[in-house]
Amino acid sequence: MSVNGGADPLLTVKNLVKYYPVRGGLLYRTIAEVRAVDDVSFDVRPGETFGLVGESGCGKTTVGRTILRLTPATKGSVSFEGRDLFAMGGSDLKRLRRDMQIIFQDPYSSLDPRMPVGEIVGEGLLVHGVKNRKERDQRVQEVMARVGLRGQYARRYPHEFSGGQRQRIGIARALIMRPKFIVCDEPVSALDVSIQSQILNLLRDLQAEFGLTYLFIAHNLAVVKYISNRIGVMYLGRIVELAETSELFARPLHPYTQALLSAIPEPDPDRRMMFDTNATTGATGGRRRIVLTGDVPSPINPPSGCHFHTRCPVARAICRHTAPPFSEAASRHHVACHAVAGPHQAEYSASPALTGSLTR
Amino acid sequence: MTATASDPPADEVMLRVSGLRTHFFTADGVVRAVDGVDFAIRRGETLGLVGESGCGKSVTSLSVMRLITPPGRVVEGEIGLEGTNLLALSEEEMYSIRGNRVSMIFQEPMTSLNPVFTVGDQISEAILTHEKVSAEQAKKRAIEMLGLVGIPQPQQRYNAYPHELSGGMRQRVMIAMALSCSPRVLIADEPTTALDVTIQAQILELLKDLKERTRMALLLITHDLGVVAEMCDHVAVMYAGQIVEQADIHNLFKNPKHPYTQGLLASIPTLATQTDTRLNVIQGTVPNLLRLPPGCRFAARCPYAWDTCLETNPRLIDLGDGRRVRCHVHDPDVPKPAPAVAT
Repeated sequence: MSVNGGADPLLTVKNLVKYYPVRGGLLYRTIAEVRAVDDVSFDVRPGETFGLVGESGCGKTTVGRTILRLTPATKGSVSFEGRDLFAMGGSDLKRLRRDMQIIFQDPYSSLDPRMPVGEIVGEGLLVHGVKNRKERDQRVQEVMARVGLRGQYARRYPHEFSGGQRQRIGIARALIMRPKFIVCDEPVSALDVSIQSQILNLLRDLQAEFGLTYLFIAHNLAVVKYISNRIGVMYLGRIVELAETSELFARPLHPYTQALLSAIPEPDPDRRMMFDTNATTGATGGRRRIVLTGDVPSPINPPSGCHFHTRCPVARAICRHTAPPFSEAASRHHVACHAVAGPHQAEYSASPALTGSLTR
Repeated sequence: MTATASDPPADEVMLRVSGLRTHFFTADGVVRAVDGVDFAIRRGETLGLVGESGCGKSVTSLSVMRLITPPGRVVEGEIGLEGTNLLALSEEEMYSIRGNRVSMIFQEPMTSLNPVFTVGDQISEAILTHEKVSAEQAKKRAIEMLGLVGIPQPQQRYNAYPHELSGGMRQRVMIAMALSCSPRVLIADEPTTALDVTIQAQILELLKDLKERTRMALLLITHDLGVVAEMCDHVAVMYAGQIVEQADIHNLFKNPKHPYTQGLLASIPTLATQTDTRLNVIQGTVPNLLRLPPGCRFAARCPYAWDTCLETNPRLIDLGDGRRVRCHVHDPDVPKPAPAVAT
């Protein structure tokens, strides 16, 4: 897997915004908006895996779907190989869709139960004008073999397969169009652990073999760390931190990223994390866990200023009214936090602390 | 199976499950979901029951609660709660124990709470079912419980309906309800699986704290080995209806004996996994419980399997210090193959 750091990005997302209207009342008017994605920018370089992590409702899936134009964006732009996706229509868009595919989280609901898997996998070819049945079957057989499914399975129906096999079908369906770019939306989170590793290895092999670029969306940080070259961390519709994988895990700068990293239970009892309640012994080896209080606020009415300030351990008065701009805190390490970087750092230092909302 | 020498003294054991078999009699045949499971949990101890979907861990917990419904049935075994065999009790007697001396919390707090009653009423109901207290006292206790599990403004939240609360708050309500009658044993079936990682951290911390305070025994069912490492004292690994390995937490993670446990631990990407290595993979998938192989249930996926493994199901070998493993490799009475066959 080679990452071409200097090359032009394959995909550029600029100031992407997606609001969903909330309707209600007698006349079914828009009474509020869900700010699912609220000004997100990043780019994805050819051949790399860009990971997007965050908790449920942070907008990561909406980013993936908006990029593929599966749902229209409210504002912003996305360009693929330098061409503006949102300005494109008709046949141009159709052609481009071959290059951009998606693998869904739930292999149970993303396959039509009434279609044999051979047809599911080959449907894209038909849509894109491969009318010759023989040729289609041939390519279905090839791609099924490549993802580790026996060719004779093509006549079976989705319910006859296990979760891991169904995810392989989903991958085959994406792969058959010979795409350049695949959005992987939580591709392993519905799978058992022993099957997860099979699918992760497969995704890596395919990337190396076909030079694929992935946007890998997941909530499991260990999985994202394993597969991604760079990672963007999302919170309530915004990217709060973006860096190369090793840098992000070695030096998380945003307080949310720090809490998220410390919250993962590691499968190693010697590194069992200490809580405030039993940290008196000062036992060795444990990481100190930062437990955020409270829940993620609703994206219908997100907090003013920095979206994270209601749960942030280091929030100050300025965070309540001024949203921190996305700034480069270290080389190629961007973060949106007044405490760490940006034009308001001095103002932050002079600002009074908000009452502590955290146990350490 | 009877108690072995390494088992704890009986007076300390809160829950002892022996020779449990729970089968489902379906139109397609008999599904042996739980097929001979033994374990014991002492006061103040946490036992983790781990395994992948379909391994029988949830059926085990439902069997302990006597919540198995047809076509399922506990066909054999004993479930001792402080010496009382729950399987010998009448339904009425069980009713007075369930939610009282043994309680359970489930994975999905939205579906296990009743949407048309306030959360406070549901907790009060649990208290009134088991204790001779007035409705007012029950309400007071329910509010106390809501406060204990970290719900802000418990007085107001008493009147909230489940849909008004977030997932994490609902799980706190479930915990409050489960603990409202001070159970001796709490069964938590994937209590954090549906929750986000920062909320999971809150709930795990809460469970740890409550366990310290009440000294209850905790049976924690999960597929997440990270949660196990965080929470448990002992672990039982299940595969296809049987426990394949049992050990204390440090031995299990440091020196797993069963090939399945070894494979499982090696296959999870962790924060420490090198990003440029391939993940270890357990080949194949779990066997169909309707058509279990005659030999070891893991044999088809096992890198060490030889003829014997395909023919006879291994017994659970006691390795001392509370370690047990179901594998012919560790059975001194089973002749080993010539080295060439093993590879």
